Parts: sequence; C-alpha cells; structure tokens
Amino acid sequence: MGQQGTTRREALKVASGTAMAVFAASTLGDGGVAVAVEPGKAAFLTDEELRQLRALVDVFIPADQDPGAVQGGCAEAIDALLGAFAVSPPRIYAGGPFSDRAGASRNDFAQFLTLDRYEERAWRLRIEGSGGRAELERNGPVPGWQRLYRDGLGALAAVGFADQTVTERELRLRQGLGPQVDALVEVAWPHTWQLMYGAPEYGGNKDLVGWKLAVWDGDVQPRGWSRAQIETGPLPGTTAVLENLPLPFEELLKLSAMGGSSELVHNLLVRADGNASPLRDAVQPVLQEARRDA
Amino acid sequence: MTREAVVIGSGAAGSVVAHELARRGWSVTVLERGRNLRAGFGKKPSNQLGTRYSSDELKSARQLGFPDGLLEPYTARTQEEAADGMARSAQGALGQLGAAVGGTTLHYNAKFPRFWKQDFTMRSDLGPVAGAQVADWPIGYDDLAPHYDAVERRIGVQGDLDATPARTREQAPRSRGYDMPPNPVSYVGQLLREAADGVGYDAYPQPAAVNSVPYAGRPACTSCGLCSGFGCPVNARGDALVSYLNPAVRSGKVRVLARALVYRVDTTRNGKRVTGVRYVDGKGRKKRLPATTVVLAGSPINTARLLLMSRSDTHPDGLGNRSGQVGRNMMFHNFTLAAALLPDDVHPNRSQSNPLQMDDLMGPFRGPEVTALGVPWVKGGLVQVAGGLPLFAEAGLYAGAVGWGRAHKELMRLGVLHRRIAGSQLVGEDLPQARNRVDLDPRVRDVHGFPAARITYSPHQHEKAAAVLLGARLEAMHARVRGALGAAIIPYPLISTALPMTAHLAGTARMGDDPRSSVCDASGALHEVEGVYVADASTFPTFPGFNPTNTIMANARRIAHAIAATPVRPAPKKDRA
Repeated sequence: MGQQGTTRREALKVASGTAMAVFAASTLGDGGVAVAVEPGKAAFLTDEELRQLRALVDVFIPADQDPGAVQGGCAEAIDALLGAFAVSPPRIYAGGPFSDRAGASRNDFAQFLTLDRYEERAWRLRIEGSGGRAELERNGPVPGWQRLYRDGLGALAAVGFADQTVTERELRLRQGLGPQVDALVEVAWPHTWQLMYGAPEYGGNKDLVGWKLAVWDGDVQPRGWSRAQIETGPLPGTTAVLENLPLPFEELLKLSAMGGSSELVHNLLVRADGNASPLRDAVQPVLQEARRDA
Repeated sequence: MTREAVVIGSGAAGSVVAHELARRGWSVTVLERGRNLRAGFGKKPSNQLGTRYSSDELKSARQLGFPDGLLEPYTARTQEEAADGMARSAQGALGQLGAAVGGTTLHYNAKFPRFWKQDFTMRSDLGPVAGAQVADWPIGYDDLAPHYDAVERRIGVQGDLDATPARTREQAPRSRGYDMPPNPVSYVGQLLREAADGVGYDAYPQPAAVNSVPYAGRPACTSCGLCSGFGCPVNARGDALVSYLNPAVRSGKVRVLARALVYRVDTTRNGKRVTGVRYVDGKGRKKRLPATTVVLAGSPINTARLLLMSRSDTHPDGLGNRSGQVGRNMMFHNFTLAAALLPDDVHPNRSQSNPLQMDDLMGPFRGPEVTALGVPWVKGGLVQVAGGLPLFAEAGLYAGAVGWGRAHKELMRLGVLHRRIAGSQLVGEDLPQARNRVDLDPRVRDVHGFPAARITYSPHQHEKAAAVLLGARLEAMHARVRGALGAAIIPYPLISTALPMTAHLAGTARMGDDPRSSVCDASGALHEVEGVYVADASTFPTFPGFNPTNTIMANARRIAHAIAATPVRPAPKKDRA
C-alpha cells in the first residue's frame, strides 16, 4: 500500500481505532465544507492535488543517493495537516513525554494532544482561514492554508507541473509561476522541511529518512546521554572535507555563529510562524555581513 | 481575617508571589491567560506531574503553550519608523514569552545566575549616558540576597562555587554553596574552556535550575540537549510551577483560573484604590473579580498593556501613569553570537545546554577605546558557553540562507550547525530608553477586540558599541578552539534593527523612589493607586546582562513579603468605578 494509505490508517487509529469514516464540520467561509476522511482518500487534498504536491516537495528536497521529501512522506503529511481537524484529536501537537525510540516502553507521541477551545480556534484559523467571520478578521482576513494549497496546487496543475521532469520543475519554479504558486511555496516549503526533519509521528520523516540523512539522533529521552557520551571527543569517522560547499565557506562560517544561541533561533522560528520569508529576511543580513567581511 | 489577593500571571513572578502570600495565610487567585499543560497540577506532588511536553521540535515550533500570533498579535516598529510616522512594521508572535500555567519557565533555559552588586548603582557609579535613562535601583544586592538564597534552595540549583571566579563571588556574594554539583561538561565545552583559558578568560559551570542529581523528589537531568524552548520531559528542571505554584495550590490557599485574560484593573471613582479586575474566561465570557490587592505579574509587555488599557477619567494616560513612564524603558538582551567551526562531529547537543559561563566580558569598560565608540562606558554581560543547535533550527537557518532545493539538502547532510561547531552567546545589557516603549496599537486588535501591545524598539549606541568591543574579543577566543577551521561572530545589534529575538524582557514599569520618574516604589506598589503592585521584570530600572529568572523570582519574593507586611484596610464600599 502506498504512503497515502499508511497515513490514513494512522489517522484513523488515532481517531477511533476503527476503519470508520470520520467527519468534522469545517468552517471555510464559503458556506462550510464537510471534510471527510474515508478509506483510500486523502485527508483534504484531491488525488490530483496530492500528485501536484508530491511533484512540488520533490523539488524542495529531491532524492539523490539519499531519499527526498517524496520518500519521506512529506506530501501526505502536509495533507494530514490540512485535514488535521478531520480526526480527533487533530494532528497538531504530538503527545508526550516520550516516543519509544529511546528507552520508553510506549510511544506517547502517537497519541496527539486534545486542543482546548483557544488552541482549536487558533489552528482552525490558521488552516481553514477566517471565512468572513468578523471576530477573526479584526486585523484583516486570514486566507488559511487550505485555500493557499488549493489555489496554488490548482495553478501548478494548470501548467502540467507534475508531468514535467524534476529539472524542468525546478527551473519553472525558480523562474516563477505566478502569485498563487508564490503564496503556496511561502508555506509549503517550511511545511516540507519541518515534516522531513520533525518527529515521524507527524507523518513525514518516514522510516526516519530525514534524521538518517542529517545524522541526527532524534528525541533521546528518557535515555539521554551518559557522562562518557557527553565528554568524549569527536565521533570517529566523521571528518568532513569542506569543499564544493553549497554556500561559500565564509558564509557558512558566519551562519555557524547562529549556533551559539538556540534561544535566538528558536524565537526566529516562532516569529516565522511557518512562513518562508521571515527566515530569509533574518538570515540574509547575516550572510551579507560575511560577504562584507570577505 | 483572611487577606486576599489577585495575581495576574502564573510565571516566574506570579507563582512566587502566590506561594509566599499563601504561606502567610493569604487566599490567592491567580489569573493565567494560558492553559495548564501539566497533568495532575494542583492534585499531585510536583514529582508526580505528567507533561504534554517532549523533545519534539515541531511541537515547539508550533508554539505549544504560547499566545497565538493570529489571535493575540503583538506589533513592532523601530524608533526610526516611529519617527517617520509608521504605525508598525511587524505583527504576529513577537511577544516571545509563553502563556501557560507556569509561564515561560516551563520551557526556559533554566540558567540561574545572580545580578551583581554593581548593577544596582550604575547611575551613581558610571554616570549618565545620552539618550538613555540609566537609573540606580531603589534596592541593592543585599536586599535581594536572602531572597536569592531562598529561591535557589527551593528551586534547586547546580553549580560549582569553588570554580567560580573571585570577582563573581565578590560581586554576587553567597551565604552558601550550590545544592547540586554541575552536569557533565560537553566536549565542545571542554574545547571552549581551553580556548578561554588561552586568552586569560575563565569559563566555569553555569548555575542552573536543573537537577544534576535527584532533588526535591524529581530526577536528574539526562543531558538531552533540548532545554531552551522545550518543556523538560523528565521533570528535571526547577520552574515556577513545580517549585512554587503546584505546592501553593496543594496548600488549599491558592486557586488558578487558566485561560483567563485580564483586560482591566478597576479602581474607586477617585482612582486611588483598586477594587478588582475584569477578565475574559476560556469561553469568551467577560467576568469581574473584586479585589483589594492586585499583583501584576504578566511580564513586561503585558503588564504595560494592562496598565494602559486600564485608563479612566482619573488615570487618562493609563493606570498609575502620571509619570508617563508606563510602557517606557522596554529592554531586551542583545546577543552577540560566536562559534568556531570544526571538521569533525563534536556533538554539541549532547549536553545540558550551555554548561559553562564566562564573566570576563561583564565590564564596565571605559577608556579611549570605549569613548571612540561614542559612549562613556560599556557594560557587556555574561557569556553562555557551548550552546548547541538542534536539527530543526538548523533546517530553518539553511532555509533562510539558500531556500529550497539541492543546496539545502546538501547542507543538512553536512550538518555543520548541529554537529561541527563550538558556540557561545554574549548576553548583552540593554540600556533603558524612553523611546523604547510599549503602547497600544491604534488599529491592531486581539481576538477579543482589545488593542494589541505595540513595541517600539531600537538598540542604543551603547549596545552597538558593546557588540563591536566585546564581539571582537569573543571572536578571538573562539579562533583559539583547538582544531577549528575558523571562527565568526554575529554582533546582532549591528546587523538587525528588528526586535531582539530573546525571551529576556524587562522594564515598562520601573521602580524608583521618585513618582515623577518611576511607576512603582521599591515594594512594587504603584505610586498612584493603593493596592496595585507590580512584581515581574517590568520593575527593573536597568537590565544587566544575566539570565533574569533568578532575579525575577527573588525580587517577586521580596515584593510579596512587602505586600504581606502592609496593614489591613477595609475594602472600599460603593465607591466603584
């Protein structure tokens, strides 16, 4: 069975432990749309939309000698996010405190957290949009991710995006495919890397392909690290030759200084709120500083 | 007669105040805008509480336990933009502090240094700085010392007094050692300590409210590396909830109303005494709670916002704002970051975050080198040594650097930021400025229709001078890391005019002896309204370069004792606003 089916099975297991369809009322502004999760169906996207989305994430993190975002299940995970409220609890926050990857006997991450009224309101707004409701549009309408994806993927379908080679797709995307695709990329790119390198319970990072690529141990609680593991010197066989870098060495060196503050970077991610441009706006001045120094 | 108080905010300050008042027999209601995230809160002992947190970077980035940037936005602009008439240039999740029962301490870095003696008398000792409102504190180190002792004992602090530099011990004298030895020091910590030694600096174990051994019935830290921004899944971190609020609630003297957003403090018609607070509950219902004692502890931005939203005929510019100082002197710490890049995987995340501290860049610095930078003196701050950056943060930075595609994947495969760096951050002091302020946004509203807090901020020349002067020294130190391919710094105040990205906030309701230039007195009491106190970091007249939580808690404890010592007065009768 394909990745789509796996995602659906997981969602239904979380929701009720049965294979029944789960329905929840959506609050889209155009009169409301029932979001359904049915056997063999995606959570929100149509089959064609999902095909376009796979073609898009394939450009974001392409497969090479290591799996890319398609193999990581990122498209299906994004679909699950867009349809988060089709299941209960919605797939927003994985549970805690432990997965079963580092010594715990059960996987708490697999049971998503129940949202309270405030959180549900916030996440429905982010995903489904404000839909013309005055109390949610005090500062202007919020289109919602569902609308951004639907419009953007529609624009990709209109140019036959998914039928092109990955090189063609990359070139077309870099040239620009219009405002609807720009708006899509603004949220879809962050969603893709977040799901590729986040905990697998969110649906991406399938078979831990993201963590294996980056040599990342993932969540290590409750086992943690021993004194010997903490204090020991460089891990053997890990020496990198920093040549032919995708970023000039001086810029990579400057960027590495950001690693001095996890707090600062965490706040940067929070401020970005799942959008691409705030990260670009924050990081580019740092790289410009490196160019100036050079 | 049982005395009663309403405390607004359940974080570092509010929890301590509630606990201390309850210990003295008061009945306390804590109103918290966020939700409870610890299963068993108020029912089970702190060592048996469950948690919704985990080592889950996506959950952290999705801001569990934070105010939502769409429902409760903050806005921001620089001083220059304000002067040009721009209403705002940023909007969203800019408040940087959490909103949950226990506040930001649920996911703080838990570094627990004390301020120094010299920090309380900067105006007298160092003199004024043009464009800044440098002031002495109305209290000194000795006033806080017993409260530091008590807070540290209750919360549980690890450290190494013998390894602490002599000047630090002189400036922050202790009556006792630390309750726990330090966590193991990471390999990159060892490299950086060696590099510091090479330039004559002294890196030593940073005091931290983290159990290195079982303490207060809670287990020891396992050095997972995910501290700042993450709730501790093993309950090894001392925080406002486990150390103060949960025991206080279990005493039966304190109740906590979660998802209760206070939007107004009421006073008598003449504006001289408090009568209660108004809040919106979790179902959106507006409610009123009568009170004769109200303690504001919602953190600097929100405390200022609440005082400004509580304006009335008798307080037309905001409650207690005859001085015009409410909301002013908003301070953030300005970070200067540094790292050495290494070819090998030196696993910087295998450690409690920033296990070492360095005080050699604290200052004050004076002389021609400083005056050439346009300021009479410079104060720096402590350096948190040997930070680690988790994977998700690395992916985000690369996304900002190269965008999508093969380059991003190649950088992730190389893993420089989470595998091959030895990094540190200077926690730079931020001078108070009248033009760095919180006010009410003229247009942007929260989901309830209340005006958003607007933050106007630009670093002072002092912060830029500190970054130039001390950044170079930090870079020289990191260049000495054994095996390093190179070293670099990011002097943030020189690069970015945006709001500093830190959870260290202070100012907006400074305490002082003169009502013309301060908002509250040394006991946190508003100069102009009886029964209203400020207990959080809003009261700080200046913001020395230390992680502030220990001082926030110690100061809140001191203020709570002052509140408890006030004589009983009958509640006002019908003279309600």
